Amino acid sequence: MLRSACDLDLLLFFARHPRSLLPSDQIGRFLGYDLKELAASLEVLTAAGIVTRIQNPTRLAQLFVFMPGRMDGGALPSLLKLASTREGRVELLRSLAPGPDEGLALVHSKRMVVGS
Amino acid sequence: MATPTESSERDLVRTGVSGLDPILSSGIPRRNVILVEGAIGTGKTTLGVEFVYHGATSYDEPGIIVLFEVSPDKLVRDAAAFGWDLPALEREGRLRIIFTTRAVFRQELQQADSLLLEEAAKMGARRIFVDGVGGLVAGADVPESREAFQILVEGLQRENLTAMLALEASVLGDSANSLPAESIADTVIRLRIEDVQRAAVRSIEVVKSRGHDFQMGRHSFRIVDGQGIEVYRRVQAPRKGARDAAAAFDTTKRVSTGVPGLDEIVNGGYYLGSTTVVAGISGVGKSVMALQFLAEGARRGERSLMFTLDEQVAQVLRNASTIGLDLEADIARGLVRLHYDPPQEIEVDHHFHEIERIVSEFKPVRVVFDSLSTYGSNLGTTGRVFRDFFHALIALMKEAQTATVYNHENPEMLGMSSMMGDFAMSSLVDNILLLNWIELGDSFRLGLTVAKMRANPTSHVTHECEVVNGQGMRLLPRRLPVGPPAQGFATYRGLISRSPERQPVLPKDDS
Repeated sequence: MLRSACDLDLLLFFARHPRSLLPSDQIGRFLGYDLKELAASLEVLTAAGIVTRIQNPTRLAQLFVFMPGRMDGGALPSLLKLASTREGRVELLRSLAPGPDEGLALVHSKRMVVGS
Repeated sequence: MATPTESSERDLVRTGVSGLDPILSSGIPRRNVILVEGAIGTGKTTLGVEFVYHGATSYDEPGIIVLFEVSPDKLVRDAAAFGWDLPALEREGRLRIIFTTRAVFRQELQQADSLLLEEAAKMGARRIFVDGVGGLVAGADVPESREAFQILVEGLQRENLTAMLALEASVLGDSANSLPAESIADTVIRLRIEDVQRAAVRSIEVVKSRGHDFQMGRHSFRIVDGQGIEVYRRVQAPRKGARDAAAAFDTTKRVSTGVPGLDEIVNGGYYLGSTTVVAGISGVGKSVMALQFLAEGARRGERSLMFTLDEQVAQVLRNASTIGLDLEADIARGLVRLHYDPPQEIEVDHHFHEIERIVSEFKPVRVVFDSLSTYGSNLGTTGRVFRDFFHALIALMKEAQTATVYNHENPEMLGMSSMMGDFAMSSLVDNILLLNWIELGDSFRLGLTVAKMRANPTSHVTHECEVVNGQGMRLLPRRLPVGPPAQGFATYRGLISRSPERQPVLPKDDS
């Protein structure tokens, strides 16, 4: 499921801020990604059901609600632990799937399943 | 102070913070906007989170926490250290922690179809804590500040929320003018960390609170691991009216001193609810008298309590055993309790709170403080702190109807030129007993004089006493068996004025 560093960083951001009322571009600024890249990652997480968003059409801010229960096998704690060190994060990024076709679910070289 | 019934009639919101609601006269009127001001590290976030936590867990009032800077996962971690399981409350729908920006928050409160307010309505939120409204309200000199804060308040009140808003002290600046936020808010609470010599003490002050009474002044508080905030009402603050009423003595009961021969010269013992000071230089036998007072209580099945600042409990027990008193056995029987508090850096409000708690739990008949002079050397005898503390202590013990003995170290070795030295509070005390070394020939002998005994006849005669190993203190007969070397005190005059002289003829009253 996770394909890029932005996907991973966004997942980690929502893990730390499980209920965020923010405009997307603000999250992008927090994490250092442009809006286009961030929007794509948001799509990934919402499509996987890990994040739901409630939007009021008249305003930019959306309520993002993190739904960790949607992740398979309780993998989130392991993922967070791994991502808490620089080495772990580098390893995670290396493990991300290179192409969209594989419908990637790997975030760890030991093939930890994060989504479908 | 409001009773629970009055509190519900007036619809007060209880904070649930230990010790804070009594200061607020049971709580804060519902829908008040509460501004919590303070510098970094003063405890604003802890107070706000605890306010929402107790609302959700103890008062069936779900709540929302709005964060701008603190990461919610860190807030959850820190709350867990106090035993507050915020994720569980979130799962149960009784709490929402929302991370946002100030700009979004301000906009949300201005809109009727706000996502934030919709969340609040869905979960039936009654409380909200907003951590860091500094960016929402500017300083006193910025005209827009009043309007910005007014918008915030209007939005919160529309939703029937009782709101606590944390405001950083940096926004307060040095301006003597109050902030618009302070005048618009219904309740203003100020948190401080104050330097006390080289130590630091946290204090909380209710600056204003519309719609109810509260106890003014700076009260101390601590942030306690595993518990949260604990507020200790300042010692000077008025307590229950019952304390004044309790000042009247019960003249039917006397509490034996436990010192052989002493009861006879204090009319059978001390009254319940009375205050006795035993003054004398170090080593003269004050603590020995105190131990006998405690042990006598235990022997009679009365609970006896000692607050010791000068010696730790093990040392007190050892001292007791040298005069034949097995206080450990009395402690095991639940009749004696010794409480040691290190005298360094005593936080007077917290210390007094502990005394109140122990007295309330243990319900002693006899209480000893060893010693008053140690309090004086820590709190200072010239300012109001010590005097207010001693006043409050006397009132507390009178309310509890204990016979209380305070040991006081008088610095003068031979005789005494003043009863309480710098303490100058003898007017508050009911009974004063002076223990003096008296030099006769080549030896120091111990004299006891009852200098004051309120509402009792007092002879003011100096009696000789002695402390015997394995037995403790006892008063000697006025007239000792004739024969060298000892002559009874009755054969001398000027004992306490430091110039004893033999009297040529014994006085008639030599009992």
